[in-house]
Parts: sequence; structure tokens; C-alpha cells
Amino acid sequence: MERSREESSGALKMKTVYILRNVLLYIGRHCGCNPVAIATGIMLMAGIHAQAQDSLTIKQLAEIVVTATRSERALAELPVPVIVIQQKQIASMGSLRLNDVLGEQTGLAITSDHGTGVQMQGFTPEYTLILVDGEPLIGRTSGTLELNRIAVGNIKQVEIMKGPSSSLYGSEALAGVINIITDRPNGVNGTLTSRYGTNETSDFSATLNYQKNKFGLYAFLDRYSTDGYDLSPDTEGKTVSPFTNYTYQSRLTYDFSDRMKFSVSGRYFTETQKSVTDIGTTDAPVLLNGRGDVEDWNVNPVLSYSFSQKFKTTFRLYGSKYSTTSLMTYQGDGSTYDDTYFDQTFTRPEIQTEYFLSAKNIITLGVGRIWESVEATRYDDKMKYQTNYAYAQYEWQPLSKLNLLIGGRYDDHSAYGSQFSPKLSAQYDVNSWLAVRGSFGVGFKAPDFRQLYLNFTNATVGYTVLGSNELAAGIARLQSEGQIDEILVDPSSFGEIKAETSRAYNIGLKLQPFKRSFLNINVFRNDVKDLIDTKPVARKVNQQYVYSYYNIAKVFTQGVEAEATHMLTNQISLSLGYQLLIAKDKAVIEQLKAGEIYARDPKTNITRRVKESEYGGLFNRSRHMLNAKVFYENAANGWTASARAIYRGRYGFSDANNNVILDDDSEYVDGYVVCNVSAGKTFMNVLKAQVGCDNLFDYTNNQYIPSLPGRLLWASVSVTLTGKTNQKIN
Amino acid sequence: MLNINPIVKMKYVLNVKVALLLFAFVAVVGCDDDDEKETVTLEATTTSDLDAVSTSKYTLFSFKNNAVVANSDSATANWDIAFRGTTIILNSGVSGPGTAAGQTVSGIFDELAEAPASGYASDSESAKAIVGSGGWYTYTGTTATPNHAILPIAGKILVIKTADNKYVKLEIISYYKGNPDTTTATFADLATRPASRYYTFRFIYQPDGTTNFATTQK
Repeated sequence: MERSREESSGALKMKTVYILRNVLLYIGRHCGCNPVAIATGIMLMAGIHAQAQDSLTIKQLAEIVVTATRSERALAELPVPVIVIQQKQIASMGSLRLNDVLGEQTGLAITSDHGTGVQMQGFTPEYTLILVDGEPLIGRTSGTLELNRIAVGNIKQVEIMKGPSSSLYGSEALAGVINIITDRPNGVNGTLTSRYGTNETSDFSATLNYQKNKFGLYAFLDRYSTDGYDLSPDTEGKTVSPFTNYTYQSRLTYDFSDRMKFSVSGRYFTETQKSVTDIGTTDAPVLLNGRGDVEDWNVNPVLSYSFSQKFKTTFRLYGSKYSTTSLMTYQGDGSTYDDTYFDQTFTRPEIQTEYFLSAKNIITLGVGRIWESVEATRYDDKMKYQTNYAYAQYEWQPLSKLNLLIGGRYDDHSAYGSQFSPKLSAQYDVNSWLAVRGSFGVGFKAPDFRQLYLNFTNATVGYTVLGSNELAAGIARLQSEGQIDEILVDPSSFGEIKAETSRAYNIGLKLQPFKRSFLNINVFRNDVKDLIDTKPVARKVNQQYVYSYYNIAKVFTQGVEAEATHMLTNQISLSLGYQLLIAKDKAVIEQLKAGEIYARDPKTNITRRVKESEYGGLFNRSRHMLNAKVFYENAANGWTASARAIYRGRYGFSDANNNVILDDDSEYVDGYVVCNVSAGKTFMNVLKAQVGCDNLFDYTNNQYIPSLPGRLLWASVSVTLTGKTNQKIN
Repeated sequence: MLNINPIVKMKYVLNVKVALLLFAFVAVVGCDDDDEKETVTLEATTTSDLDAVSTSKYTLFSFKNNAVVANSDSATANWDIAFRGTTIILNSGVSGPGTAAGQTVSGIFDELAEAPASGYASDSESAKAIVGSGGWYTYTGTTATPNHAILPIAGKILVIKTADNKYVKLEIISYYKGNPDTTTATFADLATRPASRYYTFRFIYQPDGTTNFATTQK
């Protein structure tokens, strides 16, 4: 139903087959997902429309994205590559959480460090901004935003925009942006879904849609629980401990008039995890009971007003809070071992105005202010900072074959100074089957609270980490307490910490060599400077170190991304995706050139010089990643099926020959393949049954990839009822 | 006549002395010639599994004799360097009565042809001349593989000026008995890892007092 609305608006915008081809080309660009989603869409519509090909046409035209410009735009008209993963595809895969969806996309790797995060163009998770309906999710641990927090049952589509987008979104959008677009009120219907699988993993969700005249309501409830899993049964505690979480999300919309529209959406998430940990020795175990609670909520009222056909203003207010508590007690006497909390808030009012000079000239201006605060066990006080920002964007089509997108944003931050982030993108349609596009952009990531204000001493090991702003005072205090053995580096030499910045270049081709085949190639290069790293400042009398943050590292990431899709029949689509990635530290390369990096031969332990060719780059980056997918959907008989194989090439884990860099074979984790399959059938458009198996061949690697569970079997049933009245669903 | 004899005798003695002197001179010159022809390339000496197990006593070592020195000699200048666990001391400053001094330099052992002219330190209250953690080794900690291991840092050479003002370069090869491959699963497993506190190192001792580590005169 949502789709039909898009169809009409899309169809109005684009009439020619030529444009359709562009869309097709566009869609084929990133990963099998889009074509797959399209294929899925076509099949679905085949039952409604007489001609599958017509449905395809309509579906293609319907691709609307918001991430590239912060307003709804037809994907085909944008010079910026955006991957769109549609609801239908997510449903066909049987994904439950955002990491399930992202893990199968070309060029994205799921990594596990203080949570499950996503690596994009070789950047660690802290450099990718995660948005829900254009507003940022907060609550990162050591830079990672836990993707498992995000249920996908209410997602209309996921939009992935690679390359820096600080020109629009400010800090954190350095590697790219992932924008989760949730469902909007649409018709009157309700769905209940229940799923159960391996590890006692269960998921129950309900959605409710009510739309009448000017009023709309969409509500989503989800309960997810798992018993976790244990890859090392001989040790106490599980690899992943049992947890249960609840997601509530709803949206109310009200159209005061054709000109004035209002919506308010809210989200509440809560999770509880219980664990057992052994801090003793094999002979004398000391067991701890742990309980961790996570809670986050956000609320987002939006009012838009069209002064005229050409002039539209949107007021947005966004408030969010993220809290965690963690309590560990001794199993023996119940006394407290560790008790910590973390509270973060984010508030942002923003005004955005769009001015349509003509259909080919659109100007967007925005201003806003962000208040952020954090209060936690590891900080002295409640820490606050604020950012004022303004951005401008110009969408311009100077020639019929040339689309330009020019934008820039200025951020003024209370703690570390200001930042200007420009971006220029262009696309040129060479002919009916080939288009070339490129972009240049600057992205940045502001120093986060921990890098500025952390004041943390590890209770068991005894090291201390001080944020940049806490360094001088922290060292002075430790000195007065007699805890400092030796100052290694003058604290004043650390200087004021700056934002990390990246200059990015992307050049790509979109090709449609045959009617049903699409090929997209993108070459990227990111030059990053002022990366924030830690280094020891002083040695404590307990022989542990005091660390702080400083700007030093210069790295680059570069690579090629390619995606090919072929529609074998109207029911079957095949896709192949590949990414080549090289990510290296420039300082290391200079040291290698100067012959200053050494390694110990593992056989003799004698030191030798490392050659530049032996340098494997940054840890945890796979040079090769590959995926192959087949999706099947037959709307006539209600069957869907999919088989997906995801290969992650070998990647560096940690230094083994004691020279800090990745250079020896023993420092790599072997490459591996995970295969996922699913099949489902819909009866009478009401009942849908689905079964699936993730990690079909049960690949596990307890030592290096504990985040990868073994084979997971699951089955689900869902019931959808549609009607004018709000029926009870059994 | 009687007077002549002593003179003659004296002359004789003198002649013998001159001859001896001449002989000695020739011998000395000859020796010098031989030395120039005998410029000897210095070869590294490897010491395997030096026991530094004791938690109370240091294991004292003399480079000149390539031998462990008895603890009863700890108050003498007979030893140059001593080991106890990961701690390395030199016979100087707060550690001993000698005048040894040292420093850690970066490079390849075989390529270090000459000892640095300056930069030597003696052991003091605040710091040892040879820094342990971050100096010659790293401790891998809990999460790394292998965990809780002492691994010598690649490309670190200790340069030591001994108690008798001779120069030594030294590379620590292993801290574990039998100089095991530290990248194996056997080593990673604490149950099968060889015993620690056993040093294997190689060194070149320059006996002629120069800073040259390539050749010596014999």
C-alpha cells in the first residue's frame, strides 16, 4: 500500500524509458539487494498486475531515498550512490536485527569490538553514522553502536550511502551513513509474527496500522530473546550470555492541511542480559553474577509547512537518551564486585528549508543546534558540549545528461573548534547503457566524550586512561598521590585534540550491458588525517601505564567495489558482489621505506627487517570480500526462497611477532564462508510460514570469531489481517 | 792488560744487550706485521637458556669469559650484566660496584657495525639502563594471542660498555626455555608453553676496547 503511493508519485516524475533505464542501472549499483528487492517486488505485484514487466517498470520508478539530500528524491535523479534494501528483501532473508541485514551487503563487514558494528570502506564502526528516519542513534561503547539493538520488523527500507556525508550530517558521517527508514501509517491492517529457532531464540512482533482521513497511526512491538551460545563449554560462562529485549516504536501523523503536515514518532528499547564470569583460576574459580541493562528512547516531532509550491520548511525536534547499568556480584556472598552506569543525552532542534528554483535547481538550507551530555562512572562530572551548525545544498542539472549535487556544512563545537565539510558529486549519462559518476567530499568525526573527558582506572589491572581535557589535572593528581613512577612524555606536548578528518574520492560506472544484467563499479580512496590514537604518558608505580588520546595517525583506505546482477527469469535473480580493500597506516609505510620496522623469524627468533611488500595494512580488514545470492519469488503460488553465500577473506587479528604491524602469516584469521538459506509460502495473502537456516555449514572459530554462532535453524509464522475496522488478530 | 779485560767484558755485555735490544726490536716489528695480517672478524656468541629463574638472586654474567659468575662475586667488577626474571641490571650505579653502562638501540644485530659514541646510562634508583617492558620486551596481556607472554621486541639491540671499558652488542632472542616458536598453538596454550625466565641471547664482545663490532686485532 505504501508502495502504491510511491508508484504514483514516482510515475509522475519519470515517464521515459530512458529514465527507467537509469533507475535500473542505479539499482544494480550496490549489492544484490536492490535488484533482489526489485525482483521481490515484481513477483509480488505479478499477482496484482497482469504484466510482470509493467510492475517492474513501476517498481523501479518507485525508488525514493532521503539519505542523499535529507528530502525525498527519486534515486535515479541523484548523482550520489545509495544502496536501498527493501522490506521485502529483509523479510525474504528472515533477518531480525540490523546486523543480519548489513552483514550480507557488498563491502560491509560485521565486526565485534565492544558490540556488533559495521565496517564500511575499511573504517571501523565509529565512523559510520547510524540514523533512524534521519535522526542519529546514540549510545556507543568504545565507538561501536550495537546493531543488535535495532529490530528490523518495522523497517520500510535501509538506505546505505558510502563515502563521507558530513556536508549534510556533520560528525561521524566520515565513512558513510546508514539510514533506517521506518514504516509510516498506511491503510488499516495488523500483523502478528512469531519466530523460534536454535539457542532458544524467539521473536514476537506485532504491527498495527491505522490511517483514516488526516490521521495516521503506526505501532510496532517486538520482543526478542535468546539463551545465547557457548563455543567454549569447558570455561565458565557463555560466549554470548542470555538476553531479552523489547522494542516499542510508533508514529502518529496528522495532516492539518495540504500545506501543513505533522508527525511525531517515538522509540523505546530496553534490554537485560545476565551472565556468569569466572575471575579466579582453574583450580580456584571465583564466580561473578552479572546483570547488564540497556535502555534508550527517542522522540521526534516534525512539522512541515509549504509556503508555496516552491518553498517548503520543515521543523524537526529530536531528543534521545541512552542509559546502561552494569552490576557484578560475587556468587558466594552476593557482595558487589563492580557497579557502573552510563547516561547519555542528545537534543537537537533543526529547521530546514527547500527552495525549488525549478525542477532542475533545488536549494536546501538548514540550521540547528545539538546539546549533548554524558554522565557516567568513568567521568568526574556530568559532561556537556554543544554544536551549532548550518548547511546548504544545491541540486543542479545544468545539462540534460549531467546531474550535480553541491553541499557544505559548518559545525561549531564548544569543546574542540569548528569544522567545514564540503561535498561535490556529479553524474554524467554517457549513453543509454552507461553512466559515469564521481564525488569528492570531506568528512569528520568530532572527538567523543571519552576522548575528551574520560577519567578511568581499571580496577583489576590498574592502568589509567585520561581524556585529552583531563590529562594535565589527572597527571598532577596522580603525582600528588605518589602513583607516578616516571613521566614518559610531557603531557603538554599532547596538545589540544582535533577532529579526525577524511578527504574522499569516489569514481564509478553504471552499466547495463544486456537487458536483464546490471553492473556497477566504484573505486574509492579515503585519505584520513588526525586519527585519534592512545599512547602512554606515564608509568605508574604499579608498573601499569597512564594513557591518553592524541592526534597522530594518517591512514588511507582504498579499493574497488563491484556488483553484478542478472535477472534469470521474472522469478529468479542472481547477484554477485565483490570488494577489494587496501587500508594502511601512512606512518608505517614511511617507517618500512626507511627500514625501521623489524620482525622476529618465528623459527629462529632472530630479528630481520620487514619489507614494505610484507605489510598487510590495518588489522581486521579483509582484502577480499565476496557475496553470491539467489532470490526466488513466485507471486502466483506464494513461494519465496533465497540462498546467500558471504565470503570474508582473511584479515589481520593482532600482532604476533612483536613489531606492532600486520606482516606475518600467523597474524591472520583464515577467510571463511557463511551460507544462509530460507524458504517461505504465503497462503491466501493472510498466513505466511517461513523456515530458514543461517550458517548452513556450521562454520565457527571460537578463538578468533566468537561473535559467529554455529548453525541456526528457525521457523516463523505470521498473520496479516487487512480491513477497514481494527480487527483482533488471533 | 789487566785493565783491558773488564773493558772487553763490558763491550761484550754491551754487545749482548744491543743484540737483545735489536732482537727485541725486530721481534716487536715482526709482531706488528703479523697483527696487521691478522685482523679477525668478530663472530657472535650465542648463550642458550641462561637460567634467570630465581626470584631473589640475579644470575651474573661476564662477557669477557662468556660465563656465569658466582653470586659470591657480586660485589666485584667480575660481572657485566645480570638477569632475574625480566629485569636486567648492569654492574654499575645502584646495581653493582663496576662502571658498566648501556643503552637500547634500534636496528639489525648484524648491521650494527659500531657502538654509539654516547647515550650510555648506568642503573639508577629511578630507572635501569636497560628498560624492560616497552624497552626490550612487551608483555602481551590477557586478550592477545599468545596471552601473558614476554616477547622480545624485534630490532632492539642492547649496547653495553662493560666494567673493563669494552663494548658489547647483544640481542635477546628468547625468554623461554629452548627458544620456542612463539607463534604456535603449543606456545599459546599456557599448559604446554615452555618454562619462562630462560634467556637465549647472542652477543659480540670487542676485546680491544674500540667501538668496532666488525673486526678485532689479534
